[in-house]
Amino acid sequence: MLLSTKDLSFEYPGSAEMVFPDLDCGSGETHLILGPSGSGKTTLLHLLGGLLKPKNGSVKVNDIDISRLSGGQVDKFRGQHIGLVFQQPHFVASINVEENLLLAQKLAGQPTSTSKIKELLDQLGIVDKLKKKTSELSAGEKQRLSIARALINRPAVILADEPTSALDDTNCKNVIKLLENLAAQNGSALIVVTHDRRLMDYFPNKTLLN
Amino acid sequence: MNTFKLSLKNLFHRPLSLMLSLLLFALGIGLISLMLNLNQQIQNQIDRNLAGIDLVVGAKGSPMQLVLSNMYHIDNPTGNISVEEATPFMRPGNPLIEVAIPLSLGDNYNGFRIVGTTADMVDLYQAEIDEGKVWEYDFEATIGAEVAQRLNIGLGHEFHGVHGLNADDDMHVHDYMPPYVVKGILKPTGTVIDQLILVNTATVWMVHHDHDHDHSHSHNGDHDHNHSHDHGHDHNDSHQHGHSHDHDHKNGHTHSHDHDHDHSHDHDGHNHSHGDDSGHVHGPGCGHHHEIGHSAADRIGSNSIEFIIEHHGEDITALLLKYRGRNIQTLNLARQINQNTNMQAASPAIEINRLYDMMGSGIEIIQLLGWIIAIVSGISIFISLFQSLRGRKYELALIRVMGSSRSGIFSLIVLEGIWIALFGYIMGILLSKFAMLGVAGIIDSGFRYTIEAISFVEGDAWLLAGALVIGLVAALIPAVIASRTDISQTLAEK
Repeated sequence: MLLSTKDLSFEYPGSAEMVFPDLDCGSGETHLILGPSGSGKTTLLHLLGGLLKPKNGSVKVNDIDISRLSGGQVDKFRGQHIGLVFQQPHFVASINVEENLLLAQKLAGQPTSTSKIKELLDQLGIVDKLKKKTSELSAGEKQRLSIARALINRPAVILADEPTSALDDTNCKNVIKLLENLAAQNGSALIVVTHDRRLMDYFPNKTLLN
Repeated sequence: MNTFKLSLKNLFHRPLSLMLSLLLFALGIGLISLMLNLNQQIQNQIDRNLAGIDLVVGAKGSPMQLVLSNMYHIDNPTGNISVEEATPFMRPGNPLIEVAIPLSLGDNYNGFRIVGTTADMVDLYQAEIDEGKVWEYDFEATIGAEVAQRLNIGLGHEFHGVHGLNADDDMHVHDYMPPYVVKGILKPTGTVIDQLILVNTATVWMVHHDHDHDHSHSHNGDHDHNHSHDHGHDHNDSHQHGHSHDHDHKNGHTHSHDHDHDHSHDHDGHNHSHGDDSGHVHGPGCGHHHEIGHSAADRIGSNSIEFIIEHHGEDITALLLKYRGRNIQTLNLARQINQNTNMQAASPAIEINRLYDMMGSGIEIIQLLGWIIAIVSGISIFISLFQSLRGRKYELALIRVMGSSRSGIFSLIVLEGIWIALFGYIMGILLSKFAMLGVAGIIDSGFRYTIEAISFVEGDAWLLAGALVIGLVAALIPAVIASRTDISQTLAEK
């Protein structure tokens, strides 16, 4: 298993403990986590990505329990093995499309490669935006770029938080297809967290949070 | 795309706030550096020109003025002293005094002062002859290296002195006199002698005797005044002395006015009545003028101290004294002169210390202002970074998501502060050098001193350290805040 969780729970200060069902996701597999607002979807995703530390339980990525890593270690591990896509695509505003991806390579400790970036952007259909400022991209292009950023280091796990809810139907379909295809191509495990019912049909594996 | 590059890109992404911070920083650093360098340059000049002089003796007045005018050749002399009175200090064999150098000021050539003195002057500043020889006969001149270079004149160059001490003081050219001839050029010494034109004292006396008469003639008819009352060239000086022989007037020109003479010049209409305030020091004994005027040119040794002593009826502007050694007697010498003679003695060491004190407090105030501006600039860096954090919160969280650690974020923000400090420092130093060029120009045209505009002092290096500390401290709090930000919470805020 590329990603597996066991007895995962989390507690915000002053709130009730959240307990999450166990997850297992293998290479090339996709998994949809559905739930209404407030059901802890984003919390679960942040636990999976090492952005939060669980109260109990374990998150194993590539058989490494990231909940036991120190702050600096988990940041580094995340950069190398986990790709994240967010609902609102944000980038470092002061640098262009290519530089944002170079930064992602650099921060993950990977060798920087413009040819890799071009190849990926070509697959996503935005290779012509290479030298553009990220603020000049459309919403769909931005989301594709954030997929590119999540995938550029060929992570073991791709975590997507509401990747489509800001997009229209056409873009929604395109983006989810691209995510699926690229994850499969990479052999990455893909976890999508959403309340977007449009995605129901694309994913055989679903978990519902209440 | 590493942290260095990214922090730079981030800075230039906010050009307006960058500009404000940089401008303030450069201004502060520039002011401080300017003061440091200017102070150093001025002190260098002052120290170099001390030349081991222990005492300056001249007319009564401000002691600092006496030192400035006769050692540094800025400001006007306090007046004149009679050779007779100065003789005890000039006499070779004085047990206290090793060297006494008489100075007679009054004229300039293109702003370079013409100084009537003895050959000891050359040794005093440890100057060496580059070309030609030391002045010897009347109207022979030996010029400092700076004079030769600036005016582009060489051996054999002939010129007339202009009355006054600065180029624009007065327009009276002594062209009724034979011209000075450059007979020697000194090697550069870095001292004030570089900018002096040295002649023998007799020549200065001569020029001013004849000048007086000629001058009166030339104004005859133009002015409805009696010749004897207005000798013209003192218009700009602040003559407010009373009648009779006033040794304390502000006129620094060595005018030994001879009233008993029967020159071949036309004296009709000259009613030189003694006791008027002609603005000249009237030598009490006047038996030597014709000798100076007519035969000194043939005399060898006219730039010796004995020659001066012989002419006890004449005046000189000041005496520079070097003691044989320091003892109780030399300590008391200045006081004795001040109490018992019509002359004034000033110690360069004391006067220069006073000058440093005065200059120092001015420089300190400007430096303080510079630091205040630099600190305000630090605050502006702080505010600018702090405000940018709000807009960049998500972006910084993303950088963490991409693999950067908390310390990575910390250094990213700190670097932004340090870049501003570094660029501000560089701009400030450039600014200071430009300003130094301007100040050097002003000093050059005003005082004929050459200061090194493009210089660096140790303080410049400390200033860099200070600048970096300000940049670091200004960025510290924003950097801590940024690195502590909870990325999960930030990213969850949609």
